[in-house]
Amino acid sequence: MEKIDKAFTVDFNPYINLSRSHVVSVDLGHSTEGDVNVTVKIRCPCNYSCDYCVSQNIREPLALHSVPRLRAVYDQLDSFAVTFFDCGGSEPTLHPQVRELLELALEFGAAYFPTNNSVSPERWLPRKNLERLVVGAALHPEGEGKVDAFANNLLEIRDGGAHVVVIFVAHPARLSKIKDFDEYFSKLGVEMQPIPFHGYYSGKEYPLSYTEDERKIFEHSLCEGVFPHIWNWAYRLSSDMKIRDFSGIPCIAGFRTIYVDEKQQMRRCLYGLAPLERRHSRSMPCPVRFCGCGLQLDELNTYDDAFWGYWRQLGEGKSRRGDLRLEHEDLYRKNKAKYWAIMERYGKTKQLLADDVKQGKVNFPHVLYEKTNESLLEGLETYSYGNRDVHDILMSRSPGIFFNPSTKNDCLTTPYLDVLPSAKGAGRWLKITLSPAGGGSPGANCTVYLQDEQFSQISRNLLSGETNESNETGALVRYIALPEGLQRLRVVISVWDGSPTYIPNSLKIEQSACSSYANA
Amino acid sequence: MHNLLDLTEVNWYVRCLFGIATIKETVEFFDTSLPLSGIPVPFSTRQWEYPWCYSRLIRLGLKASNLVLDVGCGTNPFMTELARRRVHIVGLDLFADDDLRSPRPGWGFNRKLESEYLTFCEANMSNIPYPDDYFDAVYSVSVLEHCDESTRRAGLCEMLRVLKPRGPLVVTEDYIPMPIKPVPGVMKACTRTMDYDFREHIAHAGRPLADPSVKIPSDMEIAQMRDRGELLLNCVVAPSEYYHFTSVGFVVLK
Repeated sequence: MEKIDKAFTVDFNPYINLSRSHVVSVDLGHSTEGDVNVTVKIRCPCNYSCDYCVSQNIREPLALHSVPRLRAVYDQLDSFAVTFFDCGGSEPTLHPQVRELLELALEFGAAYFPTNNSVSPERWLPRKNLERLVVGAALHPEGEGKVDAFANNLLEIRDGGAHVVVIFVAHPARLSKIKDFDEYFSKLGVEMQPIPFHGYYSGKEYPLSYTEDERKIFEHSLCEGVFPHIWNWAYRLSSDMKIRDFSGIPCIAGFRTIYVDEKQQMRRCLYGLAPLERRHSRSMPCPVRFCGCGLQLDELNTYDDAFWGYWRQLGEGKSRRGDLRLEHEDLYRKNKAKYWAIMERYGKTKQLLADDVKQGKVNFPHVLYEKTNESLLEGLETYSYGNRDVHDILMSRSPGIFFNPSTKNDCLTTPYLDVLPSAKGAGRWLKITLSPAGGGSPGANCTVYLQDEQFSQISRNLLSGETNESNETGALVRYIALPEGLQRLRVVISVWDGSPTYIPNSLKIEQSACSSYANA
Repeated sequence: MHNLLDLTEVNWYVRCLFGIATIKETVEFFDTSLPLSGIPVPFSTRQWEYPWCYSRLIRLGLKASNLVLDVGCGTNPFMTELARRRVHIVGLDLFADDDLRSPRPGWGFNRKLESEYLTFCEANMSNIPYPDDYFDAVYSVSVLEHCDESTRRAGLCEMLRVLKPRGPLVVTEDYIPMPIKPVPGVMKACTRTMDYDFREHIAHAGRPLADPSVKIPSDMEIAQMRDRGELLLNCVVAPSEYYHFTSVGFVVLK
């Protein structure tokens, strides 16, 4: 076995050196089409307590699998299976059945196995079919002090015949270490992949709060390897998915992907709790009202595009080489557009708004207000689809009629406006001049802000709080830093908690570009 | 069950065009798990449309785990019954029944009914979002009569598009073939007729009837069947008139 001091000259790239003689699906007598991804839930203790643990260090009790029943599930699939392990807050190498589970998975196909790599591989590494195993060894903070032992285990796995990659959670507090560790592992011939941290740190939400420079870490390191190019765009897209109700939309869960829980029950996915009698023969409409994933929707299908596609391409003997960095941004944008098109087509954007209504955030804001100087009140009355709440609010403006507390929110939007071409681009600012006029009464509340096409608020409140005579009639000049890629925006007037309610009678919107707030 | 027993006592056939849903079929379908009292009175034609639709789907090979589209579903007991029998149902309608924009609040689908086997989709039938050749079967019960002709035609095209080859499309629609003469003490005169001809819908589908031996009757033949008591009529009290109608149904294969 190679030790770390002898490993510097090893030129190891599992992805281009594999030839057709290694094609496991063919070896197993399966077509490379119709393969299935299996996620096996595995729960046991963990010997680490990472601050950024995705499971927040919540330990579920040890759950033993019935290996014969699990085998029956694989048998029923009758397909080349790529197995993942859903470990929650567990360290799977501590599971007493880990070797059996891995050997079973490798018998039916290939597997990706996550570990903190703190346990000697002698205790868990499968004895056969190791060429079908990819081990994602995560270097966590508690492993950093024992990095030589970590590296020894890594090389032992690799020398056994499995593929290895080092995973490094790019927590903001660890960013400065990435370069050193990257060099360390590259000398061993092992690729290190920083992955985005998901959560809050110093009051910021990640991965959204990574700076442009910090994001480059992922663009350079994630474009190859175990998760070629998917890891980046798919995770970016995932955080954009504001609509999580995919019920009724065709999804590959239950067809191309299967979830097996600790009772060896076959389920569509982590979020679909009903057991499946058998694997679906096609993409079926999702029955889940809230999905934490969404990336398995048939038309997005990240599995075929990425990890699963990687295994498929192995089956075809093709290399995954290519400058995937160039593809990444295009893939992200293409799939983001596709996601919103799917949501629109299946009526989910309407539902998003309806849900907002139920939660009391806003009333239905699809008011077709088409002329900027038209009376907003008139717009409300004419275009609100008989929105009872709107009319109640309008009625509440009449003297002597008290506001009905159950109908205290309303919302009105302008149509989407194209952002000035001269204002587009990073570092640009937009000067917005709002001229509401007339209407309203002192003592009520109205919030005006800008929204992008995904219903995200992209400006602070331009007008907020109690209204008074000056902001009812005077022009409001506000500046917003344009989000990257913003093409269109609209103005939202949200009325809330008012008695009686203020709604401006007219609103004139002007925009002009400037390079900064200071020189605007 | 109460209504069915009444029908049995008078020994009527519950008859639809292009086939007969017998009392026996009706009882078999609406077993004790599905009280007919749950069907609103204005929907009373459904009492034989659902069994008729069900029997046709079964004869044409419907089985558990199949994927079926209910076009213009509203909230009906048929789809929930099919879902209970482990048929995967997608109910498609314009609105959820709690949608404030709905022109007929309470007539849309109820999301609370969603289950492993029943999901809903908010869309127009003239633009069904699903891919081609996706569903094993498609049915639409008493929907077309609520649409304008262009939507009816576009809807039929869309239903066929999303249907698998050789899959059945089952359609029923309300129909008043000819003015009804008054029957003293029983039936008031009805001068109203439908503004469409269901035969044009079959022609527009452009597919063969599932049962080639079926003869498509003329309006006169339908009226004669009705006058002989072979068609069970539904009576609706409109603001200014009574009118009576029955449902017609047809099955085509893609």
